[in-house]
Amino acid sequence: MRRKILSAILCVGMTASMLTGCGSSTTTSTDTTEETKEETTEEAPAAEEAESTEEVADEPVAEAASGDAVELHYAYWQDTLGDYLNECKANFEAANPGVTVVLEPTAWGEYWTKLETAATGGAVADVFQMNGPNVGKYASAGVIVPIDDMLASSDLDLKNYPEAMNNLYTVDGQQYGIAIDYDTIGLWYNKELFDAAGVEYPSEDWTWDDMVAAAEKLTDEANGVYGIAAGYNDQGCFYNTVPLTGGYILNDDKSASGFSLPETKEGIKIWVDLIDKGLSPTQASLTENADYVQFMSGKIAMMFAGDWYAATFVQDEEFAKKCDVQYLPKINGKRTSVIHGKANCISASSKNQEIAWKWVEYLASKEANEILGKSGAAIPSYTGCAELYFEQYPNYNMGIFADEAENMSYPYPASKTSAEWGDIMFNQLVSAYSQEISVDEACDNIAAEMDALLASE
Amino acid sequence: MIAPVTIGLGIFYFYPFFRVIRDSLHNIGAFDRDQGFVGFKNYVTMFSDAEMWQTLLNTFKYVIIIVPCSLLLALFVAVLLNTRIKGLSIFRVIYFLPAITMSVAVSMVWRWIFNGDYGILNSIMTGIGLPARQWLNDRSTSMLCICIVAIWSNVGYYMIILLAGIQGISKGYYEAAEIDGASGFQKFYKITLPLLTPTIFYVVIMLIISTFQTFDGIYLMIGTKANAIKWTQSVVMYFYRSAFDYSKKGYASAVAVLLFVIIMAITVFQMKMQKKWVNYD
Repeated sequence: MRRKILSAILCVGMTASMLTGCGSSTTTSTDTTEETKEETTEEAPAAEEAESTEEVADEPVAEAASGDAVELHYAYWQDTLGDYLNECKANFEAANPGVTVVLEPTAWGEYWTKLETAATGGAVADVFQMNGPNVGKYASAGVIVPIDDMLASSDLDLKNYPEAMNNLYTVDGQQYGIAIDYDTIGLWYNKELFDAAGVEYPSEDWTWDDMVAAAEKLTDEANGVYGIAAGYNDQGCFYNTVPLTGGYILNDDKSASGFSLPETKEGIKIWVDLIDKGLSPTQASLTENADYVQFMSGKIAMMFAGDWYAATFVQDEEFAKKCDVQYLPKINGKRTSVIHGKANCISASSKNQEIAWKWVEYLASKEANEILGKSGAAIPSYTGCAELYFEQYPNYNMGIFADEAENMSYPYPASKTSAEWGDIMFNQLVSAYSQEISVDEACDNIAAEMDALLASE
Repeated sequence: MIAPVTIGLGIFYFYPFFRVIRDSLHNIGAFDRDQGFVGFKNYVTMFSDAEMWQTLLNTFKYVIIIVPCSLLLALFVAVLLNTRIKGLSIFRVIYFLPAITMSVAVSMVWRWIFNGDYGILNSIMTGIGLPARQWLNDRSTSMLCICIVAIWSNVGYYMIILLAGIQGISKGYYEAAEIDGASGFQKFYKITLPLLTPTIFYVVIMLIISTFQTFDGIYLMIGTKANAIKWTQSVVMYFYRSAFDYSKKGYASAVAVLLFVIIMAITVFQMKMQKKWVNYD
């Protein structure tokens, strides 16, 4: 009997320990492989050589002078960036013999989980793309390095990038990343559905009420067509309406949330109302089939979406002809769009800090920004390059995104614990969007939890 | 000679096992930053967390639905496939196929079947005049969907084990029963079932353990970014979200320890109870 119990314990323990197996760190050798040694040292600039030998002095890994083959890993999520990055990689490798850039794309859904696990195990890419909600978490944990010193000795000037982006990637007064792109939100609509319902296309003067009235006319239950997509979406949806109804997500000194304010609740309620009225698919439906998928299959007539969706919409030639974009509707006589953008950050565990910085520096250059613009994947952050991007989409009213960014943008709300309160916000509000609890109740719960987190920062 | 096994067990079993118990007493945040020993704080948090209780309830529901259904269906199919019919091996292959198919592939296919807007199931439903619904994201059906897929995947595997057990029963018993004029049902009830109890016992233990650890179907069909996750997540799913989505590794370790204790208690209980119903003759 004893033995049976013991074997049962072992058997169960074995299976339970499998759970932790996935948590323990992985050690894949990434940084320095010496496969292509034939590369010469001659072409490397002398100054850089001196610098990197200095660096090597306190590095245990014997990665001699800069001529040695170096693999630089770069992680990102947006698949439409592929062409741009391949071109940058080719240019960068030509200018830096011996360096191989390894591009590591990961789907958005897994990107952050994978990045954090890799960073925990010390096998994270040398340079990776960062976003607003996560920069505080990575910076305060020391996973990414501040770049102030490198910026000081570089030709790059932060004035060339939108101020909102520079601020977004500043944590405790230190700069952690340089913006790759910036984005704002527009009202995309399906012209075919508007024509079929005999509704005029959205205009620049549209108010929220005009939009709701149009959504009512466009909704056709018999054919499963909805006026608008109103599922849970922070950056895409309610971040753009909360400031207009007089509320805020985060106060200016990042010490308290605005979720207990009736004005903030109002900015979210107007979305949930659209679901209640049946003008939008339910939250359940939008969870199973993303808003843009339903939009592209002609089931949704309007959706709030960022400029970057243009690259996705034109992939479907038929659909590309059917849609266009307009300014977001006004609420209380005003309009605003949240502005956000990705940035490149350098891993603190990278053994090739010098080369990592050179790659970041190259991606921030005007040349790389021009490549990004021409690829049509995102609005380049470098001043004056945005036009190149808009030119890729002559059929769409893309100018609105630049105008919104310059004249009516709202900085993306972020603090050190954004990643955590982002989860709280989602978990509470998704219940409200699913009509299980009221928006008021969800917001009060968020306020309580979020304020506690902010107090701990 | 036993060094390889011992080292392997040490690294992949003993070390993580004791590490998870240690971690559950520490406050470990993002990037494995250990913020020190906190005693039983993680356990206190866990037991006062409504989501944890809902998760436990979900997990027990899975066990109560999946274990008996899988067992009965597997037994039924095993008995059917023990007869002499045409194309026997084809049927055996068909029933066994789900067991050797990757759970990712299985889940993706079922996800499309259940899809609320473009799924086959809804096409059939509306075709025969029944209302369509969001099977996977509707509170009343989401758990059922997970159970159906889990049972469908289980049946083949356990059917093979039970079939082997049935074929291990000596033909002599059946011949004797036939001479005494026993019916088919009597033969099953009086001979097959009692003599199969050791196999059934093994199947029940394995089913309970694997069902307590349900994860992939939920992760792949519901996903972490769905409202339905609240009433479908199993303890393992909750562990995964705590550790990898919310970066609370210490807390997640406490969840893993709790699961270990529950499974161990149930398994020990079954070991004790087996005397009452398992025949080892």
